[in-house]
This record gives sequence, C-alpha cells and structure tokens, in this order.
Amino acid sequence: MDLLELVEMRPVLGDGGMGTMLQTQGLTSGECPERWNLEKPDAVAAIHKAYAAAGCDFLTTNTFGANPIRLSRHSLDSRIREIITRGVELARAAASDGCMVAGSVGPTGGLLEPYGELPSAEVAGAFKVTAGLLEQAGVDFFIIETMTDLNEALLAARAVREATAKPLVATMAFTRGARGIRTVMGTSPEQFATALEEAGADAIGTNCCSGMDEAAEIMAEIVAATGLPTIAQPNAGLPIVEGDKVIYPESPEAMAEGLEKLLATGVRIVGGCCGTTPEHMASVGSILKKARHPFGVD
Amino acid sequence: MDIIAELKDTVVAGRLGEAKGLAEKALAEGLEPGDILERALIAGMDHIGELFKKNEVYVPEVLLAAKSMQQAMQVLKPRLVKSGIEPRGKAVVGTVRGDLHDIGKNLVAMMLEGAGFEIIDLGNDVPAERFVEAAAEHQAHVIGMSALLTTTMHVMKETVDLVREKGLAGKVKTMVGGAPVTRGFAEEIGADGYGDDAATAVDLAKQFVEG
Repeated sequence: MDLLELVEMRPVLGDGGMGTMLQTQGLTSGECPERWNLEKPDAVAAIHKAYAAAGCDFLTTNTFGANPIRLSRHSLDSRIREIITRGVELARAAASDGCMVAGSVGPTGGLLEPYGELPSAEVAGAFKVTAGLLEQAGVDFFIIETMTDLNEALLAARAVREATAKPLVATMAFTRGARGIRTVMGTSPEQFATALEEAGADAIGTNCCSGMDEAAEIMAEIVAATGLPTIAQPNAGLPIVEGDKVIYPESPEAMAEGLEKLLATGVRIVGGCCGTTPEHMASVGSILKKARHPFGVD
Repeated sequence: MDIIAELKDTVVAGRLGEAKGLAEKALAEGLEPGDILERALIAGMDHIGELFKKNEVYVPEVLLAAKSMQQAMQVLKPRLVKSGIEPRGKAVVGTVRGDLHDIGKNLVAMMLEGAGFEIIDLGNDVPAERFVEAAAEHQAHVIGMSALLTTTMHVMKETVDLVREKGLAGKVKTMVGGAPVTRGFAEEIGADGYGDDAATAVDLAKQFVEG
C-alpha cells in the first residue's frame, strides 16, 4: 500500500525531528547532519528505530541537506551518492511491517536569482541530482520540506516529478505575521497550494511551524485552497533559549492535546519537526489512530 | 517627476538595471552626490524597510531594492569619496562561527549600506576574535552578529565579552539577530541591541551612531 492509499483509509502518523535528535546525540554547531549517514550511521539508525517503535507510518531519510549546493558548503558534494544511498538504507533497515521510507528534499540554503545569487538552472540541476539518487536508492515517496521560496519549492517538485511517479508530499514553513500567514519570502498558503498542485504534488501542507496551534491556523488556509490530502509537521512549540541550550517547550502530552484542533481542519497526515521526539510521536499517535475517517469508512 | 524621485522609486521597486543610469543622469544634471545618496537611495531603502516591517513586502522585494541601490552606489561611491562625504557609520557584520547561514546577515548588510553605512562584511563562520579585530582595525561603530543555528549563539556572548575585555565597550556597540535569537538572550549576554528583523537592526545601528 502506498502513502496515498493509506491516507484514504486512515489518518497517517509521520515521524518527528531528525536534526534536533542528532543534536542530542552530539551533532555540533555547523556540522553537516548528513555526514552522520557515513560517519555515525548507528546514531541515525537508532533514531529511525525509535520512530518506528513509536508507531510512525513512515521514516524520513536523513537527507534534508543532501543536495549538491548545500553539501558543497561542507565540501561533501563529491560524496552525495554515498550520503543519499546510505541515508535511504538506514531508514529502510528500520522500517518494518508496512512502515514506509520518505525521501527528504530540503532547500539549497541559498537564494534564487534575481533577488539572490543562484541561477534557476543551477538549483534545478541540484534537485535533479538529489531526486534521482533518492529514486535509485528506493524510497517509497518523496517529501519536499521547509521551503520558504515558492520558486525553489517548484523547482524541487518538478525535479522529483521528472525522476519518479511515486507520491510527492510538499511542505513549506509558514508563520503568522502582521498581514496574515506567509513564508519569510512572502508566499501565502493559497499561492503555495495552487502552484504545487499544478506541479504534480500529491499531498501538501506545512512543517517547521511553532507548535500545534499555529499548525492548525496554517492548515485551515491550506485545506481551504486544495482538494489534495494535507499534512502538518510542526515543531514542539516556539524554542526557548536557556544558557547555551535551546528547549522546545511543547511536551508530548501538549502536542497530543493540540491534535484535535489540527485534525478538525481536515489534516490527514501528522508528524513533527524540530524538537519533536519519538515520545511526541507516540503520544500523538495514540490519539491519531483513534480518529475516525471523516466519511466513516473505518 | 524629478530625477531624485525617479531614482528613489526605482530603488523601492527594485528595478534592476535602471538605478545606475539614473544615478549617472542625476550627477550629469549637477546634483550633489551626497544629496542623491540621502534623498534617493537612503530614502528609498528607508521606505522599503518600513514596508518590510509592516509585512507589506517580504525578503525578495527588500533584496531587489538593495541590489538596485548597490547599482547606483557603484556610480556614486567614487564621487562621494572625492567630495569627502563620510559614511554615516561603519559596521562589521558576520554570521558567527560554526554557522554557514548568510541570508539574514546579507539582508542586514545590504539594508545598512542602504542606510548610508560602510560595511565590513566578514562572511560566515566568523569567530569572536575576528569580529573584534575587524572592529578595532576599521574603528567600526557597530558589530552585527547573525546566527541561524541555536548551537552557535554562544559565539555572540564570546564576542560581547571580548569587546569588554579589549576595552572597546562603548566605542563599538554590539547587536545580535537571527531566527533563534531573542531579546531575552541579547539582554542576558549583554549585547547592546537586538534586531528582531533586518529593518529593526538598521534602526538600532542608526541609534548607536547618533547616540
């Protein structure tokens, strides 16, 4: 069964944060998280296993920054094939009993021309490499995450669509400002929904927003703008800095309590982003799996 | 429309490729370079900064405006130097050590330049010592530090401490910003200011030099 068939049957539980989990295992400032696929694969595998044990329906590969542009900042671009292949293997080894593997595609970390310095063709080429390698490594579906620039999200979506017919999920990082919900680059949920649907995404939503309440506000706008299945993967609240540590304050219980409001918007896939842990996902999952299909199929 | 208004509009609208020609035209009409800078470029960047603060425009529009301003500056800069016009102040900016994210820092640098500051951009992955050395060398008024990673924010404290240690406190003001940075954090580490966004950072820097 693929993601889209599963979503038709019941709400789907995604996994939680990877980067912030790696930090608890010693990932240091400025270090390339994807390097751990090669150098500390056991740590990455342990996180995947913990999410699988928490009942997550899919595991997201540690390939968020695995595109040639971002890896070149760490002088790792020549090792992209190993990084992606190993990343997919690590998730696959932990995924049992129908658990799926989602290939993560994150932003390049640069800005597109004309406002930035990256030519579109270079960015398109980078996503083509990443999408192709994830497809070869055998992910079950693709998830484009944490995008803030609609043009960049579209380049990624087109690259994935050219590489594969597998399901494509796309999420952007929205936040509420003085003039409503936008990304920092000014994309509205409606612009995003319309454009990504046209670019061939199969499910759309938001990630890396600050907690369940904000996710519910954002998702209400996204659901209103699309007929596609929708997904929300919020952070565990708004981060608080204590000394040199950063704490994401939303507890697993609080996240589960916020779920009802989020599901009421029509969201069908719920996972987590920064600061969420296997405990958060187990807590959300315990409520999520009780939620009935809106049409009463189960 | 007079040439100053036209140039200002071009900057605000971020029409790339037009500002340089307009700046040349303004100079050819006999306008003072300082006047063009103040009334067209700085005024235009001020305006886009206000729109940005109100969420009426977002990052791309600000970047386009800044690029357009920089194109005009290519023409103005030699003339400004020749007429002995001093920059409003000097600012050392950088993303702190361990952090390779430079979008926010670049935005602040461009907007500061738009406000008439001379920028010493140290790039990313900048250690505390480098910030302080550059500030001393250039006799900068402001050190602006950016971090996007929560794990790199401590470098901001190291820099603030080092400024004090070197006896530069008061001479150079420190300001911090970036996604994970909060006002509380800025106060806790003893930074002179906190920029919630790029436009606020520019306001802060202006206050620092105006005293």
